[in-house]
Amino acid sequence: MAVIVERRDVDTVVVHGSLAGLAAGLVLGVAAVVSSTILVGSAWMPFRFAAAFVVGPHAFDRDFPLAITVLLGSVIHFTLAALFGVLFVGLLALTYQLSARSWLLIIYGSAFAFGIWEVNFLGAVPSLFPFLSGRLDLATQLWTAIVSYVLIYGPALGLYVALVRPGVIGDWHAVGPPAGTYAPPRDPEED
Amino acid sequence: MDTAVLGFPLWVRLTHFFDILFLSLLIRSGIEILGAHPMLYWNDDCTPGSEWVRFTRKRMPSGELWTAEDEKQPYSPLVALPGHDHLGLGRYWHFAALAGWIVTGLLYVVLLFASPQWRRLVPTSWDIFPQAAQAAVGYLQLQPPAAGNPYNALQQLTYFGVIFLLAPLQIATGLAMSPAVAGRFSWYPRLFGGRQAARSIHFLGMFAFVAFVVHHTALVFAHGISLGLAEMVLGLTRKPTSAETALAVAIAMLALAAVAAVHIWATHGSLVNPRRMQNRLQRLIDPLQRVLLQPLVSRQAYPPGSITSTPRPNGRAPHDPEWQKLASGDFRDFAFEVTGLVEQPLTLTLDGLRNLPISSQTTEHVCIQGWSQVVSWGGVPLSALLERARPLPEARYLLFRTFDDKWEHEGEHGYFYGTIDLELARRPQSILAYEMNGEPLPVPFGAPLRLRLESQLGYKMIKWVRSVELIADYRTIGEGKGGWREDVLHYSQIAPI
Repeated sequence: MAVIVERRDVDTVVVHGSLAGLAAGLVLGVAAVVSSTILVGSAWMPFRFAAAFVVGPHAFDRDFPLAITVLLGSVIHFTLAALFGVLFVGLLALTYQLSARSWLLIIYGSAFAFGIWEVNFLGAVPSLFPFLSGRLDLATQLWTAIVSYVLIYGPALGLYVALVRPGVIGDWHAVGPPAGTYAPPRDPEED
Repeated sequence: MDTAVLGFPLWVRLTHFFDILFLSLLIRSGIEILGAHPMLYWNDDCTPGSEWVRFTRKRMPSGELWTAEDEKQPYSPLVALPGHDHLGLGRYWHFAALAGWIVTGLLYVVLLFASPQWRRLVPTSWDIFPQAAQAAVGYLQLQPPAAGNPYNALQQLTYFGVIFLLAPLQIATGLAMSPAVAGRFSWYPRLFGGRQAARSIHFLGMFAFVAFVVHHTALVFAHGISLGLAEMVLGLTRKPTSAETALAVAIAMLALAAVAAVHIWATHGSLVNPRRMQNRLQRLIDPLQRVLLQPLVSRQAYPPGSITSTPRPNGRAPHDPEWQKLASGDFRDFAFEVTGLVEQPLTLTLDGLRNLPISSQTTEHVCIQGWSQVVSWGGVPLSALLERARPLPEARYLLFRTFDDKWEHEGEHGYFYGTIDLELARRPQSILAYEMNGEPLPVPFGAPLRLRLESQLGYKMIKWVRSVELIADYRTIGEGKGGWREDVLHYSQIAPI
């Protein structure tokens, strides 16, 4: 009877979630490096920040090997990006939003990104990595929270789903009225 | 007023616990209700394809007869209460949790203003805004501002907004979805942009509550979970000792386990023995509906221009042989009977009914599933029939029997029937309709006759009506709940919301 327009296979969610996350993570990473260069005068600060999740405050030491900082920071960043991407696409699939309107997907992406920023930076960082608190100045944090996450990373996630439409096997917008039920309203002029 | 004086007294901590319980029940039962029509609109016509968001993966086919029943998307009990397409019980749970939430909220607000605790939430100076901005800067720098009195300005503004703006908005938009309220005060849903806009805002409000919970929890962590738990669980206003922290964590875990236990009991009980749960919840909810909403009399009068161009049907034509025979003859041989506890039983053909004074009304049809549409109806006022039949003093209800054999519904179920009380039947917009939008009532909408009760949800407006019998009590009919949907789907016998 009804036409199914979305399927929710685990492999679709994992593969496309990872790809969406990696793509958005790349965009976010580039934005973070550019903003860090402009605001802090160092392209490496985002890598140090991410690397510090594993090696602690040593990641900010001048003598800490830059190559390891970049490698470790990139691995952590892209691993988290892929995981969050799977979470995002998984949430969309669970709530039947893979076929949602494109503008809605962009909003979902922004809301999700803000949630990730909030949980990460307000929940996880102060609790698990207190040495990172207060390390970034206001301008950098504003850029990170609002521009990088809400306006760049989140929309990039949503845009991936809007363009690729993983799991979508039909268009739901084209639905018409039920056959045989149309009753034209009476013209008031005839009354 | 310093922090030590304010603190977190027992009533704040208890109402916080009950708020978690009732809000979580409201959200899960709300998801159950959403699944009955998993689409949201900004227009009251609910034209297929005009929804701004949908929570289903089903699309209705073009070129076939489909009904609103086909649009349902049952959700898992993991997210919905009780889940698996139990709209009737989901609604009962929603209203029961709402009653608990409102009582908790009222107690909280009364105690808040009866004590110095109101300073906790209510800003007393415009300085709150620059102070809140300063606090936001602190959060952005990953340095949460120091606790205020007892909240910082940003927290105070947020909590104030949630308690005094968001919560009332949710109640107000929920009320705007009641056909009884909208029928009596047609301006009220328009405050929100119409019934469907109110439904959309209600959903977004739920989303805002969920976002607030995430945000609130993140901030508890940001401020230090051990201190937060010691304050909210033990009411301490100083740094807790290790033993106190452990005790606070243990009590918090127990409280969350209690909330989970209520959810599991509610879900399991509703799915395993829905009738027993219906009976329990009905005892609480139906008297409230009967007192607060059922007395409202509809005064709807929509302009002809607002009629929905593509009205949704809900239900498929009967397979009953007698009805099919009557339908093949355009219901010329149909005879409608008024029997039971009356002085003068009546038998009227369709032409006979048409010869009685017609009553016309253009009204909004509100389905229990959530969709709506504006339709013009014409038919005989029930009051006119009752005047002719003259009910006996012991008559209390009208029992409508139908041709609807519910062939599409699996299992033992019998014919569709429904009951309404005499007071509702005598209202001006309670009619037996034989016209829809100026044309003879089409088959998918209940030909030859259907009931219209404009202060009720759609399921009370019985289609394919065969006869009416006046009775003293409905409890001996069917499963005794007052109608087919009441018996089988656990709906209420009254439906003002």
